[in-house]
Amino acid sequence: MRAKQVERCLNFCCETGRQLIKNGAEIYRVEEAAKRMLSAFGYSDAEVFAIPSCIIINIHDGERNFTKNVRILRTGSNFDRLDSLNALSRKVAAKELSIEAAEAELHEIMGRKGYPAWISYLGYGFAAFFFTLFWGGHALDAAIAFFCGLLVKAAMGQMVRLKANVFFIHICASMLLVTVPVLLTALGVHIIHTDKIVIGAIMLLVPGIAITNVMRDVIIGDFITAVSKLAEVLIIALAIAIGIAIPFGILRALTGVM
Amino acid sequence: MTLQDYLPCLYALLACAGFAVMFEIKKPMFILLASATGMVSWLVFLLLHDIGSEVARYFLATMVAALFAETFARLMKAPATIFLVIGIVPLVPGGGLYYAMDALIGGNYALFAERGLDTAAFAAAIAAGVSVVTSIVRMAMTGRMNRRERETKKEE
Repeated sequence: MRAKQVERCLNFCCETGRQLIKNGAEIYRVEEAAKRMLSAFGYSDAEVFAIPSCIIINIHDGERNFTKNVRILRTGSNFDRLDSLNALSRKVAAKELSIEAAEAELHEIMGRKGYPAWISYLGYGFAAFFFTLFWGGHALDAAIAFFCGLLVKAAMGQMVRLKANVFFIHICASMLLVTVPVLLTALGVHIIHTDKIVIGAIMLLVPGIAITNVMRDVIIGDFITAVSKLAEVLIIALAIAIGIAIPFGILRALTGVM
Repeated sequence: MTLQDYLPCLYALLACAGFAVMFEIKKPMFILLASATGMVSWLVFLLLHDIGSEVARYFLATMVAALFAETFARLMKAPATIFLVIGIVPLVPGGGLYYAMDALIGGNYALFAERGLDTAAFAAAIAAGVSVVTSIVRMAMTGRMNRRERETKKEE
């Protein structure tokens, strides 16, 4: 019975940690949350080790050791869940919730629906729209950027579903969004500002969470995480750069001018 | 500077609201605060236009944004990441990356190096701004916790 209780806490903490990482939490937050929750359950000497792709938790109970590790293969960014999971872990750490209630709440959070697809699309579109205005484009540029934003969302959604890797997703998405204004210019529409459109829309691809969390993990002293996240940032930046270069390169090869 | 020059702040606010939806933030208050952080970061950036150094400008603007994000996080009892990620988006040097690639494709390697290094320096300034504020906030929080622990011990 006692062993069962330990396993239950272990499973709960692993799952909460995994979901925290998956939804954009810093790694130190995951480690701290798991430690505090286990301490609230009565296992104050538990060991928690987390990196962006894996969590290992060990609980020492009586004469036995219980260990579990979980892999995190794909990370996303759902700040609504992140906020709720963070609140849940605080409540558990403050001993306000029993393990049963905590499990039920975790289940409820994970079952919560995100924004409907059309609102997501509008979010992408308007972010690109206003960033183009922000960088000095005029209304027509912004309208084209809005379309590019929709395109990026559609491409990314589809490729994530097909389990493409991050590098390739970013190459294709940035290539697509650059192709639109380049094609229009090649067709003779010269009143648009290709640079403003591209800069406005490219903002959608910038790995903001990774950049921010790198610094926050460095501060804590978690350098393994920081190095692996930094690699992610650089690889994504490289992918975006390659994606920008391809359409321009093709246009240049075809027409000889830019 | 005229009022017209501050129009980008409004665009930053709206663009950040779009980003808040992209990141699935649901609470209207959170969307508002995250977008406000973005607007503030750009406002500070604009106000510092005669500071002389672009890197310092990015650094200070990020520091103010991070300060706002940490404050909102404490008030709302939410992770600071939520406000910070969206708040610094207007400062991200996407333009630098684009113009660097533009120079590279055009075969102008000197310009590519200059713009590439500029972009890297701005990114580093943003990172430094975030880390300074977060470090100080963490130190303050740890200090408060230590004090509280001492007080509870005294009472016992």
